[in-house]
Amino acid sequence: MKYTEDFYNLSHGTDVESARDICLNGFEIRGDATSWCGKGVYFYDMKSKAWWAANRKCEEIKQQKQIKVEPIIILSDIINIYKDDIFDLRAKNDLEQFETFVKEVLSEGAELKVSGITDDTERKILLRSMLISFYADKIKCKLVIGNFRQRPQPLYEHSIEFANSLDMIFGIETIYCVKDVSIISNVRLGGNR
Amino acid sequence: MKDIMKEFLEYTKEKYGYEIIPERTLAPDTFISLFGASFISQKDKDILFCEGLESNIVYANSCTKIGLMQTNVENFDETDDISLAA
Repeated sequence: MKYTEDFYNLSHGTDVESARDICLNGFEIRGDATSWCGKGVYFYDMKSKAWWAANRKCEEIKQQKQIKVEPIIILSDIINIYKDDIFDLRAKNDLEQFETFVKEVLSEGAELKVSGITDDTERKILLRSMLISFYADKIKCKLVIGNFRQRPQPLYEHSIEFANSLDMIFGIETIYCVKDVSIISNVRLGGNR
Repeated sequence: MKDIMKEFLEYTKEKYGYEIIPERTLAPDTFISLFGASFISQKDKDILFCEGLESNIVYANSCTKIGLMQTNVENFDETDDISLAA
């Protein structure tokens, strides 16, 4: 019997109009190479993180279109997904397979210039996300999972020191990038902040 | 140019609109230069049990009679790619 995983109450932050459309028609794969996993539907493990993403999106819409939109979160589940359909960036075995694949892509000993991008840091950010996305497509995985550090802020310095003293990690968030929307189920609005 | 590289160049153009131009150089892109570390070259066994690797653990129950008592011992085997911390 193949090993399966379940993920419940995954949170996606967006604006009210988009949320209505999603509840009616389902999620669509969107995004670009500035996101760590390229195109997909991104979920957080905690509602508070999704609210942050929703607020950020609404702020961007306000600046671009000069209209005020309300943030909202959508909750979803992923049930009975095969382990083989997951690219888990927290699992050494998955990372080893990814590295083997990337080494094959890079085996000709070249620097990959990205047209229109002169900053090397930006170039690498784009290449990383596109390589992760390319690999996910090639192995036909439906879900990519990673643990991420929150961006360092002066406000959290003492919290980080406290966590270090206990061998804990402060400010970790798990992000799920869905590459195949058919695995998403039980889509519903997320309620109050 | 290898097929996989051609595929990658086509993929980035089609999916993301970026044109990638491989350039021969003394400092080529490598997995480590892009991602900061290598996992294949990491040989140490002192790795804590990682979430997501449960399927690589194989459990077996062994039973043996000691005196008048029966003792059950749970054994596990590890595969090469993970270890349990002592």
